[in-house]
Order: sequence, then structure tokens, then C-alpha cells
Amino acid sequence: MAYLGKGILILIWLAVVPVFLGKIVCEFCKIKKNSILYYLIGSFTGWAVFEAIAVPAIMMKRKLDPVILLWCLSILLILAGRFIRSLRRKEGRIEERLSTQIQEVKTVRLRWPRLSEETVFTKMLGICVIALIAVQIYMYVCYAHYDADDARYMANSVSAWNNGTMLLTHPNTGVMLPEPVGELKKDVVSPWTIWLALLARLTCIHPTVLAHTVLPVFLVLMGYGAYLLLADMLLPERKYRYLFLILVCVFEIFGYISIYASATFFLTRIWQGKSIVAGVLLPFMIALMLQFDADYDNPGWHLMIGVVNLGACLLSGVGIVYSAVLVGCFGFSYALRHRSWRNLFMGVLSCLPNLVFGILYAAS
Amino acid sequence: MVQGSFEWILLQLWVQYARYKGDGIILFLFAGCFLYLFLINREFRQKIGWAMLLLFVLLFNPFLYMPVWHKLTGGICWRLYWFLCEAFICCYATVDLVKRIQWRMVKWVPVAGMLVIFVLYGTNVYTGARFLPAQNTYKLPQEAVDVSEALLALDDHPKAVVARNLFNYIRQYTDDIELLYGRNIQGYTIKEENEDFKTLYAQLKSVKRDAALIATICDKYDVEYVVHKKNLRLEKYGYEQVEIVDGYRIYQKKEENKE
Repeated sequence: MAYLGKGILILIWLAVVPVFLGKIVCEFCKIKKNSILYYLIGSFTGWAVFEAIAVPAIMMKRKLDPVILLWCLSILLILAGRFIRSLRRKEGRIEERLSTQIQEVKTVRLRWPRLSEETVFTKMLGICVIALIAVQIYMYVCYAHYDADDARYMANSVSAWNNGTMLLTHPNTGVMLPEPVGELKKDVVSPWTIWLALLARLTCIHPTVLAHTVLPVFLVLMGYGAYLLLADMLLPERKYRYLFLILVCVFEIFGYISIYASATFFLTRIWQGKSIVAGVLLPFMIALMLQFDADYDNPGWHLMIGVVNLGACLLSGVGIVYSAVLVGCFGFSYALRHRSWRNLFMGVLSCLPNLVFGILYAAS
Repeated sequence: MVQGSFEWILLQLWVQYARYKGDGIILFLFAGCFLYLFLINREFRQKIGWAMLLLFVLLFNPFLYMPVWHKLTGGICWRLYWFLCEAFICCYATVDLVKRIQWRMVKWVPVAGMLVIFVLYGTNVYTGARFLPAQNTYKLPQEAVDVSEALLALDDHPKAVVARNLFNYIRQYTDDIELLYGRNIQGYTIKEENEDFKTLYAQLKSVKRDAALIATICDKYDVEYVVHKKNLRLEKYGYEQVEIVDGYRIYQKKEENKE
């Protein structure tokens, strides 16, 4: 029963809540709907809200409990606000909508689809993609990779989870610190490990178990979701998108060209913030910029990119820099092509979180 | 060579590249695929190519290395290579080529070729000792978990010195065990400056250990438990062996030696 309860909590906080959050942000920004985009945007939104709350709290040497409370309240407010708005909207009463849908179902003739050779081939490619991703998830769940950097990262999470102190405990010894020192100063502005502690409290799972066994499942799916978004923008035919994903999977599996390669970080230690930058953030930001280019006149994109930038700041100091640099280069290129300096200015504004946290990072 | 000079910067750019590239085939493949896409695929050139070219000019620019990238990355500049997004470029180039080839017999050759290159010239991340069967859901060495549990059974908040192949994992399992030193003794996190700790670490690492010195330092810093695997005997120096867990001897300070 305990496992079932924890499983439900995991699904709520790592699947359901991000999807709903993403849907709300996409609707607010008037952006084309796509379930993978909802999930990724929703995850980054949650991270963005946490970054905005946690960093001041850490600087003021507060405990974790009020941060958890504030974050949960913020998320609930966003969800509740959307729910109340939908109740007020004149989209038709529920009964009318239901009867319309029933009518639509009655008019559908059930036919057994004739499977062409092309469709069978595409389905086979799709099965290959699922199998390759499943292998990578299986390796994360059933096998262990020991990384010495976790001596700091996971110890920070365990301290925060166990006694509520945020970066005020020496991760290697357990001695209390008057303020974050040494490498801990970097974690003040990018407290991904504290996010893990929050998630551990909400799901009632030990942070090390959560990071090493549970979270990689969702993060690997996010990474390939980002690649699928890229493929959606560039490859109209489904079989080519599946082919692209198969090649990406094989590349990642055989991508251990050195311990520094992005594929190495993606498949050995995805739970670390900098690995999420390498494996999820970079392809996702390119996909977002492509979508922005296709919908260039929609100002909602700048808000969405700003939210993703703020979420990226949570991951690592690398995230602060990389998201801004990517948005800057792509934004400048698009502004030149579309001859829209207004959009370039808005793009710079969307990098304001990076500027603020970058200054704090440099000052630490 | 003066740090910050142009020659030094070029050397650093080369060093970072050499660290990242492995045998270099994949990066050459990336360069070829990027060039192909940039020259042949107009959509790629407009939407991605020019932006990435601008990115590369900024990132691998010797004039920006010191004032910008070295500062922003804390000197860890090999991470700039993550921007290459080799997976995306190489795989998209392959699929693009497949789409352009009309002849059915030849159409899938680029895919086969690319897969062969990945397999032959890449390295399978799952081989070698990188992944081991998980011994527990924490994905920590079981010996670290067992030693932690043994220490917590003896004391609610034990203070201990543990062997170096344990100290990275103890505090990932529990916050309730205080260690005299951990990875910081190797210069990470918050560099340890205490000379006694460095002496203790060196003693425990070496083959010929001075047990009296080890016990003296531990006693000086109120270390109640010493956990070590090798032939270390502290019985004559105020510690008694209370347990053996997974080959590790757990020594506890004798009652009469506690203040």
C-alpha cells in the first residue's frame, strides 16, 4: 500500500501537475497545443516558480518548510485560477457539450483500417524507438552508476530533506556552516539539489532514491520529448521522425566519446542539474526557438521563453549562461531575417532572469 | 607561457577540445553533417544554421575566451562543446539525406552507414565498469548502507572517520552521521585546510600506518568511531572493535577514554 501511495504521489508531482501547468502557460501565451510541449513547459514552469522562491529564502537562511509551503501554494493558485476561469467561460454547459460529443461518436462508422506497407513500417520504427528508450530507462532503474559529485549534491538534498537547512550544512562532514562557502556558493543561485529535497518531501521518498531511481525515468522521457519536438518541426512525415529518434537513441548509447561528452552526462547522471542542461535544456530550447520562428508574431512566446530561462537558472550555473546565449543567438538571427527589432528587444527582456541570476552567480 | 596570453588561450582551447573529443571521429562527423545541412538544406540554414554559426563564432573565439567564457564557466570550458548538439545535427543530416534519395535500394544506406559509425567509433556507455547491478534503491554501494546502519544502531548521531571508498556515500544515505572529513580532504566542495585531517587521511591511505598517531588525532577531535577495512588495530590506543560489517572493522572509543 505504501508503494502504491508513493507511486501515486510521484505521478501527481512529476506527471499530472507539470502537464496541467504547461497547458495553462500555453493557453495564456496563446501557443499551439501539443502534449509533449505541455509537459516540458510545465516542468520548467514548476522549476521557475521554485527558483524565484528558493533563492531569496536561501540567501535569507530560511528553512525548507516555508519554501515548500510557498511553492505548493503558488502552484495551487495557478491551477485553481485556471479552473475558476474555465468555470466562468461561456463555452456551453457541460450537458450540451456532452450531447454534441455523443452525436459525433454516433456518426463515426467503425472501419477496420487497412494497413499499408508504409504504415506497418512506420509502426515498426515506432516500436524500435520505444524499445530503445525503454532500454535506457531500464538501465537507470536497475543499474547503478556511482558518481563522486553526488557526495556534494545528494548530501545537500539529504540535509535539506532531513533537517530543513538549505546549504548551511557541510555536505561532506555534516558540520553546520554560518553561510554557504566554497562550492556551495554556486548552489545558492542554482539550488537544484534543494528542489530534489522538496520533491522528496512531497513524494515521501528518500532524496537519493528519488534522484537515482525515480527521476531518471521522467528526465530521459523529457530529453526524448525535446528531440521529438525538434523532429515535429523539421520532419513532416512520421516515419522520418521515428527514424530520427532511433538514430538519436543509438548516438546517445554509443556517445561515450569521453567523460565530458553530453551523451555521457545524459545517460550516466541525468539527475544532476548540469546533465539536464546537456540532455534536455539544449535540444528543448532549439525546439522552442523553431516554434517561435514559426509563430513569430505571437508575443506570448517571449513570456514562455522567459519562464523556461528562469527554470533553466535552477539547474546549474551552466543553465543560466547557456539558455541566454542560445536565445540570444537564435533571437538575433531571426530578428535579422524577419527585420523585427521589437522582437529582438523582447527576446533580450526574456533573458532578464539569466541576467539577474548571472550577476548573483558571479558575485558569489 | 603567461596565463591570459593569446598563446595560452589557444592552448586552453586545444586542451578543452582534446578532453572532449575522444578519438575525434564523432566531432569530424558532426562538422561534416553541419556543413552538409548548411549548404544543402535551406530551411536548416535559415532557421538553425546561421544561429549556430553565430554561436560557434562567439563560443570558440580566442578574444572572448578570457573575459567571457572562462569567467562564466569557472574555467570548465569543455562544457561549451555541449552547444554542438552533435546528436541532433548528425541524426537530422542522415534523415535529410534519406529523404532526398529517391532510389529505394540506396535510400537506407546513409542510415546503415551512420549506425555503423556510431557503433564502431563511439563507445557503449553501458560497457566497462560504469554501470553495476544496483544493490539497493539508493544506488549506493551496499557496504556504505550497511556501515551507516551499523553506526546508527550504535549511536543516534555518531561522529566517525571512515575509509575513503566509503566517505563519498555515507552522507548520501543519512544526514545523521557526522564525518571528520569526506571528499573535501581531496580538495573538493570546501577545501580542507586542517593539517591534522590531512595527516590522518594520509596515514589511513598508506600501507605502513602509525596506529598511535591515528588514534591520537581521532581522540583530539572527539571522533567516536573509526571505520576501516585494512589491517588497522586501535585496541591499544583507546578504541575497541565493536563490529565487523562487510569486511570493515568498526572501532568505538572506549568508555574510559570519553570525556
